[in-house]
Amino acid sequence: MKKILVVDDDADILDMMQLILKGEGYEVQTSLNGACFQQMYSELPDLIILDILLSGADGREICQQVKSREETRHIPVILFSAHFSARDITATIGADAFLPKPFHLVELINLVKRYL
Amino acid sequence: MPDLHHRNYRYPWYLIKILTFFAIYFSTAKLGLSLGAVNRFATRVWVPSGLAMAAILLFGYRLWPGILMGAFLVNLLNGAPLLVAVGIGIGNTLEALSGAYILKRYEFSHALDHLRDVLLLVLLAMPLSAFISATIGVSSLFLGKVIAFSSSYSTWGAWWIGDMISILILTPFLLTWSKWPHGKVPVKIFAEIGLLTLFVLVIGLIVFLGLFRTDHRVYPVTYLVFPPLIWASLRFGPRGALSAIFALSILAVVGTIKGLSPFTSGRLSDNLVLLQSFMGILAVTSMILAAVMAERREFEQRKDEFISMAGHELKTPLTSLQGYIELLHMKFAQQGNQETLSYLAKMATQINKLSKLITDLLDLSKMQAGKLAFAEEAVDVDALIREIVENLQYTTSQHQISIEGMAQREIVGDQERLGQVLINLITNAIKYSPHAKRIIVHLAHTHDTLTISVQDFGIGIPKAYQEKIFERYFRVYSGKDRTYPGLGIGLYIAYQIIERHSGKMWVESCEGQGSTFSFSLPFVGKA
Repeated sequence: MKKILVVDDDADILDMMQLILKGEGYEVQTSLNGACFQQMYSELPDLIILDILLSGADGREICQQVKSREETRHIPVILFSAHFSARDITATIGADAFLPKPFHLVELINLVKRYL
Repeated sequence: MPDLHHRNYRYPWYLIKILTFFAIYFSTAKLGLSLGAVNRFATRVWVPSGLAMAAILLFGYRLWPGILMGAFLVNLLNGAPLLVAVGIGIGNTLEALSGAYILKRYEFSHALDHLRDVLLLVLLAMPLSAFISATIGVSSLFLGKVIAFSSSYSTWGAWWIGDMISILILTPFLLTWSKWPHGKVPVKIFAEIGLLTLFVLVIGLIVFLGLFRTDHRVYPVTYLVFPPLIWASLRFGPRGALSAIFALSILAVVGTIKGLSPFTSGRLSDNLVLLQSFMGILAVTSMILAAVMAERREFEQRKDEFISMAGHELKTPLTSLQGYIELLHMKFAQQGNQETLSYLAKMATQINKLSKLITDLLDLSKMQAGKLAFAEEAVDVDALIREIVENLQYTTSQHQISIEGMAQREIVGDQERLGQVLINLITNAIKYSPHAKRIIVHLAHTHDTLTISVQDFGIGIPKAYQEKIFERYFRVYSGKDRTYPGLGIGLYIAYQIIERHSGKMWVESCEGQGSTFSFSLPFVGKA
């Protein structure tokens, strides 16, 4: 089963993402602040969905960390944000795709399928 | 902990500071005394007052010995008896300290970017502190029998005005430049600064030094200084305004001394008073203009930040709402519960509307802040239009949306934004043709331009409104039976997007028969 890590500082959105993605047959791990990024080395996810403006950690930094390490570089990162302007930094921080909030389930699922 | 700071104050450094300041104070005072004084002591051009107040504001009250020494020595060397020189020195020191105290007490901002800062300086700190210096100075001269009582009044007046002008022009000039502007200056702005500088200098030379003058007559063309000052104030804020005023003041003083400026009818000292009053009014006017502009800019920026933040905060709960509604939709669809599904569909439509409104508001605020970024990618227009028309067809059961013509070629632009324009036009067409059955999207192209039109057969737009329809916040109020909901920003955003793609957008409409909104885009490069 493919594993997806979702990072967002809104618990309701995390619950929702879990429901949607589990319904599609993925194993989902969620984090409110990206803290589990440190733990994920034992078991790397196959995809990361990341909010950019987190309270505490900065989504941009997490993304850059993922993309700068040899062992995690291959993991696709989807940024999602309520700031449409975040689309413009997608490429600069090495993320693979951008999904503006709010989104339709189909959009999310299609995007995830493209990378898994 | 200020006490600790005091004790740790390194004295050699402190001494160097005071001596440096003393040297500057002394030399500028010497210069002032050489440029015409009333009764030898009340100068017309008194740079030190403005300099001293700025120094106290920037480096603290502890610089006062520099002022005292400078003022004392320069007056002693100018022939004042010892006690009189001490008196004048005390007056000048108190002037800088009291002015700085008033400004600090009322939290004066060195940037002078608020009207209250300008008024605080002009109405309170400047006249009061100069009053102290003039009164103590002239009293010292009178008590030391240097001047007679009869001439105290004119001496006092000259002293007061000279000091005020110095504080009015020089203090804010130095304060606004005390922080070097940070960030890179774009080439365009750099060029504008160069052009403005040239303009200020040429106007200054024409008005005050008689550049291009062919005969010996002096023309009263002082009003010419307004255009460059207004330019500087509007475009470059308080710093720009004060720099222009400062440059013009130097030219004006030089011109008046040389007898070339329009202020040359009487004795030099009288001429300088007239000139200073003129420069004073100019300075106050430009500073107020610049401050009001700066306030306005700050307000606009705050508004944009607020809208951007509010938009983000509104979108987060919407994301959850939309997600859960769609999850419910999936669940009830599996159970075949049609009634609940129809309710959920209505909720989803409303959420979509809300989401679009928020996005429009955010786009608008970004557009105004000049922060809306555009991608440059190859756009397959035919595919884009097909996809949008298919999606929007689901939202209306009454209208048949058809596509006529083909683009056949790709254009370069921002696919998402161009899609937004099309969605806006087609949704408007649906909204404003409540009784019609058709909407047609036309595509036509020449060798270098692609034109896309969206035609409806609805209510149309009265002739008088057609030109205004692309303006921000503009909405057509039919007044009679109904108005249509909306913020009046959709078309404005669409228009701006097309303009940013080097395209054009226009409308043809006949009231009661329908409207056709069109836009044309250039095919760039690729043939």
